[in-house]
Amino acid sequence: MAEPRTSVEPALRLRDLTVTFGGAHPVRAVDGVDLDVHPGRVLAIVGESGSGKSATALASIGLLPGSAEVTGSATVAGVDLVTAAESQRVPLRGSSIAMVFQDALAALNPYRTIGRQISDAYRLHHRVDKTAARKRAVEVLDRVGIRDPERRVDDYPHEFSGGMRQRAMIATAIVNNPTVLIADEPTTALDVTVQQQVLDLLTGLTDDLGMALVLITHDLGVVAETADDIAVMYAGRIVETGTVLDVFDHTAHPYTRALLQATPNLDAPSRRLAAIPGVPASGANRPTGCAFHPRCPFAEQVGEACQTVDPHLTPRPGSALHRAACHFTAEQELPHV
Amino acid sequence: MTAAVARARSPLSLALRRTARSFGGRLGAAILLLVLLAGLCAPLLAALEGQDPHAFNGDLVDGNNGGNPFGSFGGVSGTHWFGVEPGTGRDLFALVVYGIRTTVIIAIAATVISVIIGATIGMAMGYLGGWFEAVLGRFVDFMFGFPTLLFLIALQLIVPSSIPKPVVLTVVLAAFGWVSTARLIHTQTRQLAAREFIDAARASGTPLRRVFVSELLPNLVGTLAVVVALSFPATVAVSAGLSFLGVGLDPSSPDLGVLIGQSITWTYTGADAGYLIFPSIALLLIILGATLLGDALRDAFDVRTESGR
Repeated sequence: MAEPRTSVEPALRLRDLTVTFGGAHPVRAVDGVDLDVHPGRVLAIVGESGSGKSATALASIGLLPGSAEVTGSATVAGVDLVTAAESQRVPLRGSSIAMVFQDALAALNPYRTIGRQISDAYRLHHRVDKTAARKRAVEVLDRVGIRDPERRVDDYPHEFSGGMRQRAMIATAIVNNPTVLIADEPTTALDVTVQQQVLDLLTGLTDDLGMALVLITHDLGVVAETADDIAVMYAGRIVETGTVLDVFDHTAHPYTRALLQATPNLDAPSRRLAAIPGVPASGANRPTGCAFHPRCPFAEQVGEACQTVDPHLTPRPGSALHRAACHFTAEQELPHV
Repeated sequence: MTAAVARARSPLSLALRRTARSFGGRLGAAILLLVLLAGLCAPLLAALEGQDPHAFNGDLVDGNNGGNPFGSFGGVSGTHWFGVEPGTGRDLFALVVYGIRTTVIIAIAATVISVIIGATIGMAMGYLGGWFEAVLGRFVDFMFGFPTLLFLIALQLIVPSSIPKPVVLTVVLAAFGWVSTARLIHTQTRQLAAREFIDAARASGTPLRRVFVSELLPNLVGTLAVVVALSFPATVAVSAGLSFLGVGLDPSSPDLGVLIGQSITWTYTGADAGYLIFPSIALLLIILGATLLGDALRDAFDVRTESGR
């Protein structure tokens, strides 16, 4: 695993990103998220449903519905996508920042051939004729591992298998060599056997194209094998962040620890998986103090602070990047999983 | 299926193939084609019979019998295949084939215009949403509850006679025909807009106009085909109904609705039923053929025409 390259300008920089869904009862889905994603590195955003990981991704690319109020900044290629006008954002989408969705069957237009969809995405950002765009589509399909791309380029999505569709969607996303690729649960809808292939493809592309990959997932198994850095989200905030080694070996936040305990481990198959007690907090019913305290097994040891004081991200043992938001002090390491 | 169509595997061509395979689709298409061909070749068919729809034949009707045609069943004979029109003695076969032409041209024009208007408004409402959808939605509801028929009758009376009647009829039919199309396309677009491929298209930098043309429209082609096929016969019926009520076309023009409207009076007063039956069969065949085809298309595309929310 490569050492963090903090000197390089990040491909995607989020600062104090906050997303509020309006209405009679406003819900703060994302609450002051700071993140840097560097070229050639894979950042995994991990969390339960409703933790705000998808909202963070959609806000980064400026695709949230109009009912969502976004503040803070999401900078790609020198442009802040939060404040920029739609006319400024549209040319950046696809060329600088692109997205791979969870369900490729839903994310591909059923009425148009795979080749058309890829070459159209290419022609949105390149002034080339249809023949050249088609050639590029075949090339990208070949790159993402579609066999016989010359022939398959004219197929419709329903003629592709699940794994192939996911590859085709990745092809649509990388056709313009984006600097940032956001993959929202890219393997959740796939067979286990195909999952690994798709993850390998994504990491391979990250290395080859020098992209920054943001991998959104709830699967820590995926993270361990794929990611360089991790950001764990709970109730709209990042509660722990660092390199994969930091977070797995020097786990500093009880929530991360609980997630790890809830993940099956082939090395210790006999252990019963530990469920996290209680209900996930969300932006709508955020507890006082630390949002995790009602479910936290260590809250009693720390005392009242957990219920009253909102913890901030502070440095933790491990690399310079490792930080966690927990009242358990930096000196006290949590019991290892 | 032969190798020639082996490449045709788009969802669109698959659905069209399902339509072509279904009994209703084939029958409907055959009937429609037959009647449309008759309308298209009206001058040819009339010439074949050796008659002219505008020629009066006073010698063929019995002035002493209220103008009823001589001969049985409205004067059917080798020279007048469907008999003649009571009173004027105009050839009924020529009137019917010319009438098909008038009726079909008006209905096609009105259907095309109303579907274009309805699809545009429906797509814009469904995709743009917000206040635009709210305001237009109220307007669509208003139009839906509007007493269209009364308005059409009133409108026909105040439109200046310098504007040709067929044009007035077409515009009026289109102006009120788009409402149900807009509703259907609105709900379908709303469902489509929530699908991920629209997000995916936007994520790759597709501008708004292209989202409509390249992403939404291809997915609505099936629905639009069904809408056209099913609203065409409805338009035929309404247009014939208006002419029947005497507010559509001029009474002298060859039109199925006009013919049927006038024949009713004659049939009441004891004339042979031929004058009523021949134009009615032509009208029935148009509507039956188009409806059968439309139903087959709807089954093939699996379109739910009920605009439930």
